[in-house]
Amino acid sequence: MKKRLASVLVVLAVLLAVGGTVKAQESHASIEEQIKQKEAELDRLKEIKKRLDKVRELQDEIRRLEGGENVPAGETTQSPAPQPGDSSAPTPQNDRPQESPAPQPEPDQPVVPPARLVAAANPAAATADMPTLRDCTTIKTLSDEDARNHAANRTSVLERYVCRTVNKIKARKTGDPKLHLVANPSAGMNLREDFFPLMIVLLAREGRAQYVIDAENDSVDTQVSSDSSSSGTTSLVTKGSVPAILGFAVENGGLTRSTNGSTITFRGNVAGLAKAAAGKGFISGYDEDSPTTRFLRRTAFSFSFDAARGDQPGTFTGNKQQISNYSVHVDLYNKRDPRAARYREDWKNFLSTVSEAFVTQIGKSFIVLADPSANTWNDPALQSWYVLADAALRTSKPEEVERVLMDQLSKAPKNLSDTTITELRGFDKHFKEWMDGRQSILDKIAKAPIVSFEYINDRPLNEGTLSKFNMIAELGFGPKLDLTFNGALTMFNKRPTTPGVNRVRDFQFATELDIPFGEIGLGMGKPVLSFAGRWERLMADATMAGLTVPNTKGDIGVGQIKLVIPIKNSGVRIPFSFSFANRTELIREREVRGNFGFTFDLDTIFARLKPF
Amino acid sequence: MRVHNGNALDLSGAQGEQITVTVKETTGKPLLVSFTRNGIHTGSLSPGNSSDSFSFQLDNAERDPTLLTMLFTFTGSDDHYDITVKGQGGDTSLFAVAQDFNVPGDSITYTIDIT
Repeated sequence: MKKRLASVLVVLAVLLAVGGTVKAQESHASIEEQIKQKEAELDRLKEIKKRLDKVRELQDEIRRLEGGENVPAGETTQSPAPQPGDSSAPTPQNDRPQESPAPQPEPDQPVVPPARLVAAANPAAATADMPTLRDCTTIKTLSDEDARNHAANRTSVLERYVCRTVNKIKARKTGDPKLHLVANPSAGMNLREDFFPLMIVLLAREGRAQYVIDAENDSVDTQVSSDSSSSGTTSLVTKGSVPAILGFAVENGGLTRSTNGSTITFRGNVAGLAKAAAGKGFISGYDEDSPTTRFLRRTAFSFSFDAARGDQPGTFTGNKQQISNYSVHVDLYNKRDPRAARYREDWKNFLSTVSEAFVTQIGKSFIVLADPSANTWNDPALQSWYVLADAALRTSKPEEVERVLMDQLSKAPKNLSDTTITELRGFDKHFKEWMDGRQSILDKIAKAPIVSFEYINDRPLNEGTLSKFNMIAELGFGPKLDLTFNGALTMFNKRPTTPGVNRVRDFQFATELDIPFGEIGLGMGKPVLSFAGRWERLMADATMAGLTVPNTKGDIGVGQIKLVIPIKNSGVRIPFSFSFANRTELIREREVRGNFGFTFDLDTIFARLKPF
Repeated sequence: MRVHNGNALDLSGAQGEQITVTVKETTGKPLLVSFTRNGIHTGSLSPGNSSDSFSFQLDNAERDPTLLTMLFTFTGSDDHYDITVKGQGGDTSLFAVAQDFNVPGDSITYTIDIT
């Protein structure tokens, strides 16, 4: 008997690997009762396995038909009938509303690929392929940074929901006390939790909801390039917020200096880099949320290198000789907090209108499309796909979940029933309204003022080092306009020996208005047009190589028009600027200059290469 | 009320049993939660509180199982909602919905079989 019990358990274990579940047995049951129960369970699991095999067989036939291959009519078989009372089996329940099964071709009729057949019968059914999704490490880095900066998303809604689902399934497998989850290595998808992201996947698959697939990519408030005092910068005004981890900029041209230069700037967030360097890993470090980290997140630093300096002019070596400036930046006042009481009425209105309408739609769609008790979809095509996808996820290890889910999502069905399409339309409408309603309040919050302080240690070539103290204020208004003010004082680090020259070198005021535009296509994101102006008073004649340049004391006015074009989904931005000045610091002549550059958020590369 | 299969969203309760749902936002963000029961009874929690609750009675004449769908809206990078569901005795269901990947929100559905 023991031998028999052992063999039953071995077979049972094999079948569990394809997604079966076993109900817990009563501890007081006799061995005979347990054997009977196991055998009954075994029969049930065998039936599930048969159905899984049949689903795979049918999907293979569908793929062959879609590939233009002729499948003999005799090969096309009927799906196995669902078994009543089979609550854990991935089949539709008999007591739930069900869709009519997809029409089956008669044996003597030409075989028509099911997707085309459904599309012909239902013009609303599109046949888009799933867009290519980036890896979740990259999506995590970009989405966390965008969230922290209240910036437009450089990742799509689809990418974010898919990656979040990856993490949720991993957490179910490994357990997570914070989420009240006990480890269950054979966990897969669960419609009670995953209905929402799966509806978004279906929206993307259907190909109509472009907003689900596209990244927004229109951020205007992150300073990546160097301070305006650096040679070669295209930035006339310093912005209020900074990249989360590390930014990189190479720019050519010059605004206020009489020499052109090539400046390379690294601008980083203290919290992100410190934790990464501490060996916690780039991503896990990002997730830490201690009060110290919160403060450090508001703190940034930068180093700018002038590649024209040093022993190898023209080659970036990154050594001390090439450092043209370094800086520290701290946010002092930031009202861009959704918790503030001033936004409470906005949230109340949001909840009572679009949020309640959306949750009603989700609840209604759930009742129509799924049987959560049985973890099944009522749409036959969807259910066939779901069975395989869920089985693949159940048998995958946590580290395989991302690859497996991405693979399974690429096979999501296109031939959805009319009922499913109708519910998707309703979900689409309310989902968009809910996202827009939320975003409009967050946009309002993002227009609240920020005040920051920046210290810059400037090391001009052949001159004494300077300290610049810069107050930065930023305010949004209108649909998406952004206005920035700078007020700065520059001092010599050592008192000049020139008679009549004191420690204060200059003071400056600057302002910039940013106007974002819509997408221009051709792989480009949303460009931003900026108008900027700066007034500077030089308190004494400028010096160069220890010599005073006569008659250079006085006022300098600079104007600038700049267009920044982002390359979609890459983190790369290309700034073009046209500036005009009444004079430069060294020459009392009018000057008109064009600049162009290239900026890149290194966070993207860091996420891909995982250097920490 | 009972929790089944170790799944905090898979519940059962007696006909007429009062169920209380409490949601707490643990990171100090606004409490942005809307809910619907059987797609019929819809409401929202108060966004000014860090914690709020609502109650209802199980009624098999309306629907069995009862479906309670909740929609959570996120506003930042670390929003975290703890959801506690209790009946008049028996088990307590604990579940959490946390922001990740800067998604704007999420929904979950409880099924409550009426015995």
